[in-house]
Amino acid sequence: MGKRGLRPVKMGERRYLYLFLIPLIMIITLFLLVPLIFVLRDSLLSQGRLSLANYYAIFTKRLYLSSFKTSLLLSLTTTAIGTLIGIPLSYVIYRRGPRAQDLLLSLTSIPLVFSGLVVGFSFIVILGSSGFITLILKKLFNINPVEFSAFLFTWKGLVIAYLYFLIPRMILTMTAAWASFDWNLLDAALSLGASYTLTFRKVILPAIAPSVIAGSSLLFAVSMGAFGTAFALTGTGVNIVPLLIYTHISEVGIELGRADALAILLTLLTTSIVMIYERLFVRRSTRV
Amino acid sequence: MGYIELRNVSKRFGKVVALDNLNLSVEKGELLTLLGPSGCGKTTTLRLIAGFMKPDSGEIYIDGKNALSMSIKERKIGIVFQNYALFPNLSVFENVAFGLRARGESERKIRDKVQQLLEMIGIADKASSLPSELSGGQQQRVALARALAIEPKVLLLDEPLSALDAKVRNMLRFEIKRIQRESGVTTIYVTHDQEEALSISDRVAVMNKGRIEQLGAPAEIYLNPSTKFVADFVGVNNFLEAVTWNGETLLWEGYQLKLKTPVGLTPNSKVTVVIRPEDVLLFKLGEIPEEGEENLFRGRVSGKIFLGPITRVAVKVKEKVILSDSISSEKIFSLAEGEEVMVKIDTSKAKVIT
Amino acid sequence: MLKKGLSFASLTLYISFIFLPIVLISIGAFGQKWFGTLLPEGFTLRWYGELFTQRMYYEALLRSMIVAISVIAINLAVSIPAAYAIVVLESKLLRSLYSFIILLPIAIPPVVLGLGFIDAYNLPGLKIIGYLKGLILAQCIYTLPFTLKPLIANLEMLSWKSIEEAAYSLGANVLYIIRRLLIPNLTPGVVAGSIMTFAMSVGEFQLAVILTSSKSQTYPVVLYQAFYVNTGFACAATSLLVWMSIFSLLGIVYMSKLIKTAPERTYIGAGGA
Ligand SMILES: Nc1ncnc2c1ncn2[C@@H]1O[C@H](COP(=O)(O)OP(=O)(O)OP(=O)(O)O)[C@@H](O)[C@H]1O
Ligand SMILES: [Mg+2]
Repeated sequence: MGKRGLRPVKMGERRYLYLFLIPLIMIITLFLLVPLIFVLRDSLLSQGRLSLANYYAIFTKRLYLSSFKTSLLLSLTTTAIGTLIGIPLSYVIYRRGPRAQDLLLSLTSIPLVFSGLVVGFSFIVILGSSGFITLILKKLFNINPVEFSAFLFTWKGLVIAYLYFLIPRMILTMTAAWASFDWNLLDAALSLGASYTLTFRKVILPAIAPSVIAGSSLLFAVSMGAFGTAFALTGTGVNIVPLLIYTHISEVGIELGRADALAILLTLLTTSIVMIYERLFVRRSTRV
Repeated sequence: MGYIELRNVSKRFGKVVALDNLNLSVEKGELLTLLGPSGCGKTTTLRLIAGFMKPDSGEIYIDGKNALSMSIKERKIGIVFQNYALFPNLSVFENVAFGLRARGESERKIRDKVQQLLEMIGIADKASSLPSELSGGQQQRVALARALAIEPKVLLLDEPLSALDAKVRNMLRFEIKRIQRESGVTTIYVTHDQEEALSISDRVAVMNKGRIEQLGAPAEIYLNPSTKFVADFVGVNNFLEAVTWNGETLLWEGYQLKLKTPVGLTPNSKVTVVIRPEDVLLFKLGEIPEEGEENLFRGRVSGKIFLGPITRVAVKVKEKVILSDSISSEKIFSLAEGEEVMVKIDTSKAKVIT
Repeated sequence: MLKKGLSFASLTLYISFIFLPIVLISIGAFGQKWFGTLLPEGFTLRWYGELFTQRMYYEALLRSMIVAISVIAINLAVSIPAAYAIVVLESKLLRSLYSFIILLPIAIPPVVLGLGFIDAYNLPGLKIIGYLKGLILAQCIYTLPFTLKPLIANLEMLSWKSIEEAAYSLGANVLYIIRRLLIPNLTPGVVAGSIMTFAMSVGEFQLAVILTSSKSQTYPVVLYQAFYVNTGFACAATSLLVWMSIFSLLGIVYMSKLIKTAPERTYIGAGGA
């Protein structure tokens, strides 16, 4: 064998392509994993020593417990309402035919590109004390605008605002489910004389249940982590976990370790719920 | 030594053994088909020859030279992919010219060569179209022209027609054969369609589980399959599981099956009798076959498919179904399901596999 | 009949729900006075004028542009080679890495990421916390899926692996393949990814409010302060983000047609929170 100038391209040996991932892995390590590791470390430090004091505080102090309670209440409510509204809407959209469906799905994406701030401010303009809908309601039912709009700045107001970006997510998850549902199955069941309820239970439900669960997991995880909308509407007036973490960061003198412990618990929750979504939806849809 | 030679080539992907000590020799100028079921290693064989992968062990020679020390470019191999893999941003002309430009040919030569190829494959009028503006069949022609443009030593076609509908497929099949014969390029053609393999190849290699089960001329493969797998894969066949009674008689489902040529087996050995549907004759009850009443069994019609000039009837003899092909006729049409009929097995056409 | 009416009514209601904020904010931005009336009174361009003359706002806008452009540049530099490797190597491990990255923005709430930056990098010498640098790096992580996904979708749509193999077997070298095939064919993915990343970065508030100081505030942070100024001005300031988002979306919908993906699938993990 003589000497060769250029090594021939041997595609079978393209292990070196793994090098192409170095920049990606580097930024993920430096700017995601390292920060998360520091959060974890600091959550386990109290006055410079290793301890579970921060977690203990979270599980005993009212402030923290109630923030989790409100966050869960808010997220469960938004998830339930979002799912219940999203499913029929997604079906209606799916049944519209491909062109209308395309357009409607693009419209559905609008709330997803908006900053949380925009959503928050919008609902002040809509439901605030001199908001558009508030004033219409005043004209129609003669309500007191200030009293009526007070709810907007509580967790109940957040429910309405969150729905703005949650319903679209449910719709997007579900239209994919409708599209992959085998409609012949339905006709077959009905033509075999199965009743509507039986057909629903035996044919439709098993087929769409994974997507419904995936969609609600997504909604729940998004609500748990959402921040901008709540901040725009209430400042830090509603005691939910992301806002409480923020107050700990912004106000000096409060122990940051508590924020770290809150952050770890929040991340564990959102990550594990997002996993459900990934299992049931992303994998299925990328395999197709 | 063949023009392309694979010796004891093995390739595994993790636990999957894609190729298992494969030996293959392709003669210069011939069209050899790799025929086999999905996952048997056809694509892997092509990719190894093309140089996209290295074998775990074994040797590959192209034109007498060790291919494993050659780069992809040096191998000078034209490939046609199942999904065409045309360059979507380049016109038909530029697609075909791609290899020539990459190899730094002169503008004149490129122009002449591409023009000639486009005329040969019959899409000269589409030279400036983009691939997305062509039909599937036209795209496949462009892919073929593109591969031929570099005057490859070897042409590899990986299921080139499988994405096309039947009509286009049949037409292109013969066109590929014609172009291959005219250019004289050594070609390996991959397919899992036995009809396609038998109709265009000089030789067919039937693959199974990373090995070659049988290699031979199409007629030989069809008429004389050496294993049950080949027999099964190459055509629609009846497989009768029987045991030997004596040298020229078998026992099948309690019936005697007389053979024309004796098999040298000890009594009571298990054998499979392979018989094509066209070699199973069908008679109405009471009809007396001229050929005698040997190997004549009574059964019931359990199904019927009209295949144009031929009608295939499934007959249930005891619990076994035997397929029988007859020329379509009033007599055959009038058969009702469940009707009793007689089938006669022409054992002179049968093959006994042990 | 009833079914049809019901479906029509629900769609109308849904579409109004989506558009109401956009319409009200857009109208509000041109109204002289909007208090206690259903719609604003009078027409004025004053609020937009103020927006572009008040230093705080236009400087913040400028900073947001700098941040967005830097984030796009870094993410493209990181994602193009990565997308290429993920598509060509076809490894299971890389696929899981990819599906993990796609869900990052929801799995790890930005508040947590911001807190992590403070915990890890709040060292005076580094000049990360309170500077645009820190915000840029954090946003790179947050917007990574929006750059990466269109690129991967683009390469997959092309069946890039076969394209590249075809080119190699025809005798092309790497540079020739990059110049004649990769660049022209990957452009839609790059553009779509950049627009998506831009849209996410420009409106991003959570990281910005945590990681910037008064000297490095980006547009969403000063916008938040505008809410307390006056309705007309707040509407004008907000409408800027609204229209940037909507134009980005139009661009993405158009580009996604080219690379045959549904953009919504990417957005599902994004924005609006
Ligand atoms: N890159 C790869 N990674 C892992 N496994 C592979 C890879 N390529 C092929 N295999 C496996 O090797 C075996 C042979 O694959 P190959 O593609 O050669 O089959 P084939 O005969 O071309 O089948 P088909 O008709 O489906 O194209 C299969 O089991 C396949 O799953
Ligand atoms: Mg194959």
